[in-house]
Amino acid sequence: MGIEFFIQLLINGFLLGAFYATTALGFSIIWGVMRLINLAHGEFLMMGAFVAWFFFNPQREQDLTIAANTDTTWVTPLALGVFCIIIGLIVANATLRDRLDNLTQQRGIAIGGGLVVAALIYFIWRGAEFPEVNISMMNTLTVGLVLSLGFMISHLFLTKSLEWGTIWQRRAVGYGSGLLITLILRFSWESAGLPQLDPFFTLPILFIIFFAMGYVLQNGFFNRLIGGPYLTMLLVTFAVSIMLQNLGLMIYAGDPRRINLEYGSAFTLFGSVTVPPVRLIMLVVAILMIVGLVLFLRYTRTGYAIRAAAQNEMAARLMGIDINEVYAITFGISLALTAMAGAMMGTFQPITPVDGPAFTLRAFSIVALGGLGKVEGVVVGGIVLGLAESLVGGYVSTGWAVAVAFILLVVMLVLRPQGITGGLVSGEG
Amino acid sequence: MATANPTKPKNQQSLTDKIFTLDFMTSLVTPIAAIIILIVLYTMAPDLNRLNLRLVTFTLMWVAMTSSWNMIGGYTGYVDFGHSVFVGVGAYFAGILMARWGIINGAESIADQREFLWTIWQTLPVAFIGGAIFAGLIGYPTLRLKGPYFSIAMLGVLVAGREVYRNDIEIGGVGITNGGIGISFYAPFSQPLTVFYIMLAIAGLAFFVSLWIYRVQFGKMLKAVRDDEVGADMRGINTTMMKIVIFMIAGGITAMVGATKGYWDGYIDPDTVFPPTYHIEIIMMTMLGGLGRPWGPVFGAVLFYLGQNYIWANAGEQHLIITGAMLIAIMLYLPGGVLSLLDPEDRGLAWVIRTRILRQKEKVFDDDENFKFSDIPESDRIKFQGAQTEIGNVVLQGRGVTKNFGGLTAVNNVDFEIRSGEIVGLLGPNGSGKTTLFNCISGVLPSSGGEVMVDGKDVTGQPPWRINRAGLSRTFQRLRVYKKQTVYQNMLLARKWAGVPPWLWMWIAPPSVHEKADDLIRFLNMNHVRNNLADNLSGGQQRLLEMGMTLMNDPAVVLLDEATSGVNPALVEDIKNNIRRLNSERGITFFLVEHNMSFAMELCSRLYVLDYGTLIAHGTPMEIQNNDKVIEAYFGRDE
Repeated sequence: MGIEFFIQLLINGFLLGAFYATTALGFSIIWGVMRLINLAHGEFLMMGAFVAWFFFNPQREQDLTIAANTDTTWVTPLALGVFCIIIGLIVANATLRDRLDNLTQQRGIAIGGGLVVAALIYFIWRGAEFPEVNISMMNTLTVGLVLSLGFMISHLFLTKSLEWGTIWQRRAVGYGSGLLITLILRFSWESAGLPQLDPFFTLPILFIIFFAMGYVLQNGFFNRLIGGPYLTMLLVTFAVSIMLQNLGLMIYAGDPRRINLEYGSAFTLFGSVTVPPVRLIMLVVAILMIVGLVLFLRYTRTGYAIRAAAQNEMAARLMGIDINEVYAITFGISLALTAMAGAMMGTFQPITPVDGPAFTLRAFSIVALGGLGKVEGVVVGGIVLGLAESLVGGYVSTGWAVAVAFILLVVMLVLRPQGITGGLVSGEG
Repeated sequence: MATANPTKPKNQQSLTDKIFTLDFMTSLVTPIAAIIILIVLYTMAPDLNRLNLRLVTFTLMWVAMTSSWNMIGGYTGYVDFGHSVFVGVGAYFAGILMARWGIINGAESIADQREFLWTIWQTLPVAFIGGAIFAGLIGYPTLRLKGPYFSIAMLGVLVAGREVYRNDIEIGGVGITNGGIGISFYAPFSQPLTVFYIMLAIAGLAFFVSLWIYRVQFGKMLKAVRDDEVGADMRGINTTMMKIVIFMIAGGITAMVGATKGYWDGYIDPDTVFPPTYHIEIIMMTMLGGLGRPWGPVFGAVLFYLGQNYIWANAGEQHLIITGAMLIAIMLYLPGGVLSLLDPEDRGLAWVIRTRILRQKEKVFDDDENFKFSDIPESDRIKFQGAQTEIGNVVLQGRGVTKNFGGLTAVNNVDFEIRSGEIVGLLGPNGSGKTTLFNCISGVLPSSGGEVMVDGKDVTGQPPWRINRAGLSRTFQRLRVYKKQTVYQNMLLARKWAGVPPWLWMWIAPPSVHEKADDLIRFLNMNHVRNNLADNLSGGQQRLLEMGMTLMNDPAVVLLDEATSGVNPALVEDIKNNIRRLNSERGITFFLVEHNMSFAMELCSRLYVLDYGTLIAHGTPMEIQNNDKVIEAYFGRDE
């Protein structure tokens, strides 16, 4: 319990803080740019963690099934139908908006499409010899990857070539190439006997999937909450968080899971002070993410637009910025960064689908500590929180370490609502 | 017309007239219906089977929790995301007093411990008081946070509270909460029927307290805090105390529910008494029924709890997904709750009967263009009498008032002096610090230096409501009337404070206040719209109403901030006349900021001119018009 213990705690706290900063980046951007407090943030983090876990353990595909409810109740088909209609509405809202002005038509297509998909799933599910048919996670992920890649290609790489063809042609090309890439990946993966994918290598895949998901989600759903009363915003995102948690529980059950990386033993700095190599890699990735985000915001055109929208939405609109596009990209980036942080989380602590809310609150704490709408605020807040948790855990008890974040949050909100580095705070709420 | 059909003033109506009005009769419906429901439940409870009794008891528990949440989240608008922390606190009061008190007092055997244990009847009042004190301690720092910050801070309090109890607070070496292991109660265990009666009593208490607060002046003030907190502060309402009082009442009632629930379960640990979904279910139920209405939580709790049970029975594990989807649907498509289908603006049963059954229409002045002075009945008009006011002693004095924003000096060492009976103007180009000076005087912004005296009292650094009570009223550049309340209620909110004891004004408005409000409404020619929502008035009428509200306190001086901004030119003349009449007939002193030069020049006897935060000129309108510095400030230097 000497000076070495103290230094060890400081190093642990710093590394933990760097990780916490990455988990809160997405939360801070969404809040700063759109004034949207996303209470489902932690759930997106956990989704990232679980997708990374899945890539790491592909042979456990059999565990990951959504068992159809074999009881003959009306709930499963109903829930399935409602779920598919919601997804249909979100997708239709995001994709058909620029094609169809007629809202009724658009909704009709969405509801009809949702019902068809629901019916298909239900009949496959209940069909013939599979009373507990699995919807294979591998297949789900493949579909997701096709959609995300196609989305990325059509929206990001082909936007410049507007004169080359209509939007539909562009999208067809995009989704076609997405399908091709995914199929090649999938076949090579299966022929190699499903190797483990290291979570640090899955980060780019996560970025693509979650960017596309965030873009579509924002465009189709979260857009409705922006600028509305904050009660609606908080409650709806909270409802999303409950739904995602329980979806996670249905698929993964509540067992804690872990990504066990074997990168060799910890480095010894001096005496008994050690640093595990995984944490060092995480630190490097965290620094890359933070620096990348700062550079993106500072030196790209989209970054300018995002900062402009954050400072004054109306003025940005008047300057010809497509605010919906900017918000969608912001949400996409936020979700992508969050999922990447989630992927790293599984490497040093067990993950369960219900861990999300604690991270949402931690993200809130970090932003409140550091200052809203600033990347450096998130870094400072994350490191302060990491150090506080580590020191309290080392000298008092690990039980209190969990409470520290929330006590810090309340104290900070009351004493210095603008955070350590200062920043935007809407006085009127 | 006026003479042929004289209307009696309200306070001179006979008793039968008073009783057989629609408003009075309908105001009795709610309490009578609630009492009937309580009696029916009380008499039928012994015949219910165990399962149904449990269901009804749970429903009552939710009614009690949502009704108490509604007082802080609905009436006051402070959306408490961690209200179930009080359930946990109450349950731990029961657990500690009814099960661990013996161990804490050092008794060895269970028989010895029994000597110390409390009964539920002794515990309930302690839970109420303890919960209320806890709410006060938590609320004092957190209630000053606004909007989502308060919500998230309370969520933090909830999670932190759970962890604190889990970590077993120790007193004298004995853990009082027994950490994560939890506390088990000793036999005799609770009887379901007893628990039912206790829950019935608590739910009834919660409902009637919330109904009562909704109806008395206290509730109207809370509504004012919800709709516009800065404005409420400026009308002399001590918003901080209001919020803490209502939070303590809500917290105390919820703690009683928690104590009963702990006693009922017979076992307490941090995860069962701080359940992960209670805090959000409370909000969902209230939203489903209708936020901010006494019946809302009741409807919501019954519908939601029974519906959720039905879904749970059929959907098993997926029920929370369906619950989440329902919440999203409610929030997006029915944000006002079920009750808003019948009564969208929360006007009460009498209004529903009038508009929905009797089909009466209320006159809506939605636009200045449609408003004509000929709409005002002759009886409401008062002739201009044209008396002259005496100039008296100094009522508002500022010495060296300074305000810095970081390095920028917005108001620089300004001296001024207003005497009673005067109309004084404050002019200056845009950004010269006029409104900042007003904010410093009225306490909305803390000033960086200098002192302000109102009516001979030093009010420097006081909160706005204290400055208001010292005798200074103000209006704001943006309209600050309570749009969801009627004109008359708006006037009552800004009541006269002097001489009325605080324990009284919270509940009943004394007759003198009603007389004053009636008088001012007549004076301002607004009697024909006295029962309209302020939202339905035209912009100019809302300005007049706001001016009337500032006069309710018998102020020594009234600060008008841009009284004519956003007002139809036809009504500007009307506002000018009203200011002049108020000054000459009632002797009201005005200090006004104006952009409209001719308005200020015609009205004011003296003018102050600010430029870049510094006072550059002072004098009569004639002197100001010929002052070189003023001309330079407005039109630039003549090179």
